[in-house]
Amino acid sequence: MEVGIVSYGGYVPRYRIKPEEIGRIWGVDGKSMGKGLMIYQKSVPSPDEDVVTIATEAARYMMARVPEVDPKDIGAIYVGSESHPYAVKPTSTIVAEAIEATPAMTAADMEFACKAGTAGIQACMGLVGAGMVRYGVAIGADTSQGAPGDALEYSASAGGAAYLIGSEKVIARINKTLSFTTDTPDFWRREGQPYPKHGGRFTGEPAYFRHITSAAQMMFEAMGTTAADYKYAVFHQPNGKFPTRVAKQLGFSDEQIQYGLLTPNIGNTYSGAVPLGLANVLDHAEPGDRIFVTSYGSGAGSDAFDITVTDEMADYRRDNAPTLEKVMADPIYLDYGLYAKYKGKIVMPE
Amino acid sequence: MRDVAIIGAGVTKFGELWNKSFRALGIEAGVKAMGDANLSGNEVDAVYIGNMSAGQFIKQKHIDALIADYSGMATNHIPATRVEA
Repeated sequence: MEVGIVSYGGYVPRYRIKPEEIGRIWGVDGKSMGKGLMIYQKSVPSPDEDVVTIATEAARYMMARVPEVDPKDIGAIYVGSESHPYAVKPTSTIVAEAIEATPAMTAADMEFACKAGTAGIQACMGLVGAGMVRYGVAIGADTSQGAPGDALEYSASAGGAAYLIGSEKVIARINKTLSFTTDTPDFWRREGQPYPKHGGRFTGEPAYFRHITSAAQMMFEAMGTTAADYKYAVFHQPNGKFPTRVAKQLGFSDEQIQYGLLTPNIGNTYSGAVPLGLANVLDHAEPGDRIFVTSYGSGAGSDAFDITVTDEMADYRRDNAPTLEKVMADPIYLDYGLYAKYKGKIVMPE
Repeated sequence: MRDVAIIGAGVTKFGELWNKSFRALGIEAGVKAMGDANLSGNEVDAVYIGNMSAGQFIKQKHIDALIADYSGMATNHIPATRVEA
């Protein structure tokens, strides 16, 4: 049985704020901060947007591209995020109703920092491969939080992408997936806390780099490949620097990671980052293209995927929904005041 | 006042030692110093640990007893003191 991606859709909110505007408020050289992080602007959700609305928008684009798929044939849905609107009350069921997939299905929300979306893809692959469901939906979406004045304020942004996993008319076959997981507390947020905490430089070498390179090397070994065997690569992208560096370490060129690297333009969309990066690659991919994907979630773990675009992609109705290029075009820029208002950072009267 | 001398010293590597804990570093330096001085734990009369920020960084200020204990000297009943300046 060929298991893989049958359809996909991605959404990014329209508002943006630039690092120089953030720096202006905190009395630092924001432009240099942005350059250092390789993030030139980040997306900001409008007051009527959250993970539910972003996930639903992405899921609706995904369904629009496969009009022959009956949403009632979706047997599972998982929404992965670290900014679910509720700690208890799943986002997944709201999205499931919105795409008319309920009630004969299973659903659950996932959390694993920035890799909750790819974890959902793995779960759907298992259910489809085992013949338990016909189609599964996995979504990674976030409206991530950055504490005022913290480095994360320059990168934490909003966006998400949805994937329809199945075994019929697969446009991108997932040849293999594997993961590397350890208990590494590099970044966390306690229940009820508005902003996360992180271990500074500890989030680099022992966290992001260790897990991504370990999972990637396990994948190279399992598939008997090297970086040269792939047309494209997508890595988790908390800023523009980390993925560029890890790609180089693993032998990938700048051309290979170009489409999959969106953070410099929209910020770190957390659980949406790798799903959106992969969606942008799929917007440009052609039959036969092989794609290497490795996500990273703090806490910590990496999910790796080896994907090959099939001939089915030639018949895929991608234009039934806007490509990411169209979604991300024509942004509206905010000043810090509006940004703080939209992100709920202003203490409002009760 | 009688003469006092440093009779042994031990130093750990300095850097981003992601795989080493606070107590491991303290014990490593101490054990190296003991070895350098050719001393056994039973010959030590008192332990002094100099440290500034353990309370803030690892939420543990009681590091004098911690290092003395994990160095195997807990049953020797010697005074252990944390020093900060």
